[in-house]
Amino acid sequence: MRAGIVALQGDVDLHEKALKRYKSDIEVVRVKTEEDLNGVDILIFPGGESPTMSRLMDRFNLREPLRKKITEDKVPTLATCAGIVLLSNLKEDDGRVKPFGILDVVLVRNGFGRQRESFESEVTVKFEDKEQVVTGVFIRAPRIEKVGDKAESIAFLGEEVVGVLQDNILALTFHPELSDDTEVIYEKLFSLIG
Amino acid sequence: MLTGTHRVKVGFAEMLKGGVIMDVTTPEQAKIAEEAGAVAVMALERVPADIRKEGGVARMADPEIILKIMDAVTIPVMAKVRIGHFAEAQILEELGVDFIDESEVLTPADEEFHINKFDFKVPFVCGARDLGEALRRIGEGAALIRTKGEAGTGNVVEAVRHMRKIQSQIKKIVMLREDELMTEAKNLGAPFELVKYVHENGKLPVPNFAAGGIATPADAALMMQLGAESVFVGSGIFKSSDPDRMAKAIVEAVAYYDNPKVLAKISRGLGKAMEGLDVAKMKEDELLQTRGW
Repeated sequence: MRAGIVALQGDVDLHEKALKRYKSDIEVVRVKTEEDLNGVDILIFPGGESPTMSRLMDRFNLREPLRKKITEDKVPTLATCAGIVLLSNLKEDDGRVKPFGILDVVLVRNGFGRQRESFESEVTVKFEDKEQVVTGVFIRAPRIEKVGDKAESIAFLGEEVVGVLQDNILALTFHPELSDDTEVIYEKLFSLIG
Repeated sequence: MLTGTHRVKVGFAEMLKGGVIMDVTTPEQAKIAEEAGAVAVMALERVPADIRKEGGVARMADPEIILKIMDAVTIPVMAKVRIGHFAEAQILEELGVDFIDESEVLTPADEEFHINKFDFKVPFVCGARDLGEALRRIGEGAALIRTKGEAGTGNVVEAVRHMRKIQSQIKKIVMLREDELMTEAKNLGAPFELVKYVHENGKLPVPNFAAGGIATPADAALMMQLGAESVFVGSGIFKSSDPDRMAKAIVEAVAYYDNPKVLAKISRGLGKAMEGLDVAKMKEDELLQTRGW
């Protein structure tokens, strides 16, 4: 199994570590060019700064190849924090990030506040067949304002939705790669491989 | 709901990897940095090159400037405090600054002790010239280390020296037998538990960035290839002849640091890089890197 982590900027190392923790024989490719996408079975959009990633994606012609991988080839995709920002729609277009708008979700960037307000808390993950409490680490995290019909809410901070599943995309506002009790999320990701 | 935990602090440092943190002194510069793709800005009253030139006591920036910069951009905003000046740090935390740099670039407030960084919810970055210094700062609660280099010189030689030093010291500790670690900790002046962590993991317990003298895309790529996980660029951007282009090129160089084809393309026609200083010709008391204990 080959995973491609979009490596323009962000916490690529921890995603690689988490993937290997839950699947020791996985091959990890750091995606910086279109060629790096060849043969990937899984795609990861890490956390980091979405304006940086958005700009580099356009500058180095990665936007369309990535869109094709997700929407046409239907490659199972995990997006965290800045990753979910890139795949969703923003409530206000501030001109800094050009999101793909693939996910039927409306977001506010840094919706919980600045770093001082970053936190960890219990998050309940609910899939059809399984429900589990995991540690959610939220770092200057985006906040989900609205979940449309196409997306299914699968992770909850109290009543608030902090993760969705839409077709081949699993997207979270927190960082499963920062805690070690999030295997349920990776199991789901691997199960999306057809 | 827990805030200010070790995981939340170091996790944030992880998010800044593969990026460029740029020194800015005005909201306009901050916008140029954000537009260019910086992962954060460092809000300052004067860039290190000017601090060096003008002399006098360099202090934390006016909160007014910091707040204006925080308003201007959506990326994280960092700011510097003097070594040991925990009251300046309390003020920055109150302002909501995202990262505090306890920095040798400002005039130290304490020539014996650093800030106890565990007292704060906001994470700290500190400079280091060698592994002992890095581990002492981490022992005090730093969530991120940067090599000191020699700020405000536009000369990468000291950043290279410090990064190579730390990397080779890490390699040495990995090779040691377990019964040799305590003496190594004593020699380094570093906490034993952290020396043990380095022995077992082959890396620092927090990310390690480069700073101090980076002035071109090639400098940034060099530091990344030597093991830096991101770069701080101080005077190098806004003391160059075309800050906008230089900023973009350095961001791109960090992302594609191991791809000479891309580096060759983005390094072309950037105008004049900042004027540099020969560190070897500087007097001992002109060096900023020797501040920190």
